[in-house]
Amino acid sequence: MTDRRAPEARSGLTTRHLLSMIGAEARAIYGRGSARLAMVVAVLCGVVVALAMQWLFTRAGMGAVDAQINGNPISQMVEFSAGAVGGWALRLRNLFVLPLVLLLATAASLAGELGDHTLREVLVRPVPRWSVLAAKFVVLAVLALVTQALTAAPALGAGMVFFGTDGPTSVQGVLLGYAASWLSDLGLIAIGMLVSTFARSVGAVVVGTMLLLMADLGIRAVLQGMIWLGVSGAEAVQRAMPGNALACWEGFTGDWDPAAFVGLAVIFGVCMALTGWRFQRLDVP
Amino acid sequence: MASDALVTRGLTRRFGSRVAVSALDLRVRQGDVYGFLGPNGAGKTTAIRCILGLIRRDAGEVEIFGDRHPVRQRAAVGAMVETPAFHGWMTARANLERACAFAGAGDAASIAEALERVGLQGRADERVSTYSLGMRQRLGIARALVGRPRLLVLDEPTNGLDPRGMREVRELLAELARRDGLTIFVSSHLLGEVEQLCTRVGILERGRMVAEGSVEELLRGTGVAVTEVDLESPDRDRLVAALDALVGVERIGDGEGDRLRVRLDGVSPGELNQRLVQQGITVSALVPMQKSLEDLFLTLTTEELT
Repeated sequence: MTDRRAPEARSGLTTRHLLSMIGAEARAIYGRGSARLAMVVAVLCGVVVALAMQWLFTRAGMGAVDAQINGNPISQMVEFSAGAVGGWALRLRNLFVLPLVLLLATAASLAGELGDHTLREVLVRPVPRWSVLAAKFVVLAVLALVTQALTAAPALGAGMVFFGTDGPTSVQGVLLGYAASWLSDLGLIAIGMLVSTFARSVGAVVVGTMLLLMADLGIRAVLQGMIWLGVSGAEAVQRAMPGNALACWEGFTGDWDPAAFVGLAVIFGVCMALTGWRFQRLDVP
Repeated sequence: MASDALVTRGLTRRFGSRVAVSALDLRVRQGDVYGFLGPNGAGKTTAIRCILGLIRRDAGEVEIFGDRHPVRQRAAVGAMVETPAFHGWMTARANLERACAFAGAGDAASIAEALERVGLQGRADERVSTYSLGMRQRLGIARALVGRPRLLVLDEPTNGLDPRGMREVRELLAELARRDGLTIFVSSHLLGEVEQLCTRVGILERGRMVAEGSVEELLRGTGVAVTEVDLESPDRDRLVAALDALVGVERIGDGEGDRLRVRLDGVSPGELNQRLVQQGITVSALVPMQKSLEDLFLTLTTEELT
């Protein structure tokens, strides 16, 4: 007789089993060089920005003779507060390196394991494939969160010690920015996972995602032109592009754009759904 | 009545226009050591991948211990497909722990037991990247054994092993079948090994099952009713002339010593003897030649064995 229950019910997958898969995945992902590199880079972002601002502050003469850049006093150009240090550390973190390292970790976890056949070894005893993706996603999301904390903690900590919390940029606002930035990391992980279902090597995923984001820039430029020409609907599409979603961390500056979050949610949802669909049908090498 | 360990019905997989596995029906009974044979490219690995759910099947169904949802039987099946892959930077034990976590079966005790069965307990806490090919192969079998499955599916388990390693694996499988009562489904090129080890065999040719049964059944002539005998007579010239005149008898060369080897098609050795005696030829020796699995394999498959 045909079993009409949902696949999850048929699979006999328990919460405990899923947790043990997440644990095993954490061991694999955190044991790889890319995850450790991400954590080191995250700490460095916070520390480097805090030290650089302390150096600038010293140069500014602590209220005495203010050094100048292009005729403008440094103390007026740069805000010296814990919030500002945290904000600049977040900007540096998101500039290029850390998203790239997170992408590497994502690619190593899925495309890398497909390429070196280690994923086959966990699927020969067939667990529902969505559970494998879920375990990987949870661990990567936690890795992204850990790297956010590893940047925020030294930056804000040192900023408080060096400059205190007074200033236009509030620490709470910056922490919100870190939270928004984490959400954009999730978008990047989702894109990386989707590209991983098409590629068999880490390099191909990184290059593929880069190309995707570059294509996004190009499409955005086209849409920008359409908006300029007054084509309605183009703006809504543009807001859903990955580049926009990945830029939502800028929200901490106070310039919140709800559309960026809508875009992120759309990108995340579409990428995860497509990843699940592709992975379910994938011939595992 | 206990259900069969593994049954496929009409299992089909195409890659583009090429049919890799075509309407494959096979049946592995509980307790069988089933040899899955076929020349290179016959579709053995594709069939195994379909059975394990690693690749999609275009048609047909797979039943493991009477269950058509293999995902529910994962704890009952241990498998090794082609060359086993590991996280080289992890220890052997950590790799097995990972397999246990994903399968939702097995514990530290079953890991230790599996490592002991393959003789790797002494090096379990070394990184797999330091392992030789043979050790990796044995570790792959250990991984298939964790959680004490009832069915082992092994794809070319002796690949890359030296003769000693091959013998060890063969002895291990024989022991697993005998002592632990495991059902073993093993694909191999090594017909001599399969002949020694397997209770039943299935021969795959171009994605189709061309013969299935016990080695004895198949050798007895299902589908290949040809027997070879060696004949000896003091009057060799008359024997040659008589053999050449008989229908269903073909002289194929010299046998051992002065004997002549002939192939019989539809004629039993007893009938041949009777006909020769009727012609007044003294037959001093008539020795039916036991066909080997290799002969059978080569008869049933057109591809060259490599």
